[in-house]
Amino acid sequence: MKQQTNSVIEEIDTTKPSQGFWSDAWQRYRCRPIGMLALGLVVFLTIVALFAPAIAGTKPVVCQYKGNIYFPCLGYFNRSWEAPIFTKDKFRGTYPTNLEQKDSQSWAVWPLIFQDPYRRVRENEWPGRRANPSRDEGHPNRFNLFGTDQYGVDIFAKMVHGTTIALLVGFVSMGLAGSIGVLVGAIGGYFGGWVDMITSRLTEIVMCVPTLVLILALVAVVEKPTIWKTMAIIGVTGWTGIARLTRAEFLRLRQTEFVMAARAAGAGPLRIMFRHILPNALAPVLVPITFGIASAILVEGSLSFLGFGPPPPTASWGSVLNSARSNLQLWWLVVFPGAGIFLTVLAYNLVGEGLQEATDPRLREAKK
Amino acid sequence: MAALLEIKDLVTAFHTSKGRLPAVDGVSLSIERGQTLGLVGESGCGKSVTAMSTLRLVASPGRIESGSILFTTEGESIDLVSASEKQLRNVRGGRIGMIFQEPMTSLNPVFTIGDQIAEVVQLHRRVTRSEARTRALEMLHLVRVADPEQRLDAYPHQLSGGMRQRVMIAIALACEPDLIIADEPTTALDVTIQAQILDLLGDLRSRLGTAVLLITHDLGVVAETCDSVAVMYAGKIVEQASAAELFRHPLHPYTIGLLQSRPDIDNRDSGPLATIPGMVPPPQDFPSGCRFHPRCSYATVPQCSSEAPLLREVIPGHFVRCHFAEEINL
Repeated sequence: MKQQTNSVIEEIDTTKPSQGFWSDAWQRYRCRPIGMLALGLVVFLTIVALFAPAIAGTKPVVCQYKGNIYFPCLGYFNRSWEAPIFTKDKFRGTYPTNLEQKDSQSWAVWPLIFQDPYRRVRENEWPGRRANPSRDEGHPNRFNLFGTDQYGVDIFAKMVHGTTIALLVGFVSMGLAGSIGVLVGAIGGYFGGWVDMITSRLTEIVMCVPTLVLILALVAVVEKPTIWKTMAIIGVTGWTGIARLTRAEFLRLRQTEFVMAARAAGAGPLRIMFRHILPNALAPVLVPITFGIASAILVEGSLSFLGFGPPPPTASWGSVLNSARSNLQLWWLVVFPGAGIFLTVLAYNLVGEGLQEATDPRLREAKK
Repeated sequence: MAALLEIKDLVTAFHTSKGRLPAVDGVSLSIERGQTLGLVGESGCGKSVTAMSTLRLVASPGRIESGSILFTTEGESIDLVSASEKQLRNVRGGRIGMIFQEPMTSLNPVFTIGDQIAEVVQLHRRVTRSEARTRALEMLHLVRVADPEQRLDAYPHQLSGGMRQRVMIAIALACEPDLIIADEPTTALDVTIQAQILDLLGDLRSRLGTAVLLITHDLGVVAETCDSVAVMYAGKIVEQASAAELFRHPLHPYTIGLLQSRPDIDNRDSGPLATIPGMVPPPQDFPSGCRFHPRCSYATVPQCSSEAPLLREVIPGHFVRCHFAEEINL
């Protein structure tokens, strides 16, 4: 008998521990083919965004010049990351011929597509290739997969580099909006009373103002618009939904026994808010952030389309659309960036929806 | 030497749309070092609010209106009612540990139990993370959790109710407090686990010399574990004595009623169990006079409904709040 109870205990002890919340949510998420497809697209876009200069560009990914190894393609992310020696040797951005002429020992690994998002590729810049067509001749062709705009700048290169900007806009502005929203919601929900009164009214005031109008007003005030300022503006106007959700979660969670237990253990309000309550509130807050990324990309697109976005050299999808406004006969200026924005926004929305269904037990029940 | 915890005339009231509701109305208690005091009563008579008030954990709209809670430790006395939030944070979890009724929900679901025990240690001691973790492991050993090394990294939902209550005890004891407030620690557990948890508490108490304020509605638990008992009814203490004395000579009709409503294992054929008719009145309609008189079988004279009895020392060390204490004593 004794033997038997022992073996029973062992059996229980060796069973594998039950799953945590996130691995459980992942199991659920994995079962949704559309969600997985969307997640795949998001991952693909992220890879494109990270490796944009290696996919399309006119600067070598890696090259050897006068005995040293350089990565000139990083200059697409930040001007100063391009080695100063190329400026000194008067490359003027044209690498293939200059590398050959100035150092016969040099070698280079080129991006997959030799096209530049910021300027027209000139005649013989790449040995034996004609200059980019412009205006009505700029149909999609062998060298310009998505065609060229009225100045002869390659649309594919713009699209690839625009991915970086689109995702940056999504993540930076939502990172900002998420931080503000969580902070405001947490303070209001945790302290309640008159504090909640103030934060809630503040949220409602910001919410009442139509976002695009507010953004346009801010853009009018801001001097020299850059993509970073656009992100900041989207961020400081887009936090209201997150604040409301966070507040609701905090209102619910501050009543729970484990929060009382944390107080009884001597934890201070900041510790309780951010260490005890926030991790429990994260799943419902993550969902609007995902949706927010999609809407931020959309807002940036609309702003650039209206001409209030970052100034011309920036290759954002919206600014390509904007250039199509005055050249409506060039259909490829509308279709490709439009499809890019559409697919990205759709993908993020589907990921958000999948996340919601995977983490919200009530929604799960309703579907059954 | 002063008592470890001295509660004097504590009044905690809730201010709601129904007006002021005094859930605790002039309670005085004292606990000596290493002693166990049982606080007994039906649901809704103010036991838990008393416990929460002790650590100033009563949530709005509740408020401590008057009284003092003198906590004496290491030769220093602090009045917890007027103490600053910072002083309170040192006392909470550090000098006074608390065990809650619901082990299922009192642990944070997103942290491992090792983290949660270590957290309270880190809050009150200057220790590194690994030292705190070592302490957490020690505590799990102490509260007799099987396989403590593995349980350290388990999440609360992976443990049973009894295990979780052991973890709660470990958290409460991790900083070697002088006092533990256990608010119905066994109510949510089944009977066999209850016994284990009580054994554990009793054992730890005698080993560590920690005083315990045990809040319960279970007189059996009190008889087994407590040195002295206070019986609470409708926000007031109605009887207070040593455990042995109270069970031998209950003097308040309410206590007598409580004792009679327990099954008696030696006398199984005594017919149906006695009950106390009615319910504890909610604070907005406390009756005049003695608050127990509408339910009391001894209340015969008008005095009961007009004049509130005082808590009197009827026998040395035995306090009763009843006009008829002497007659009942005969």
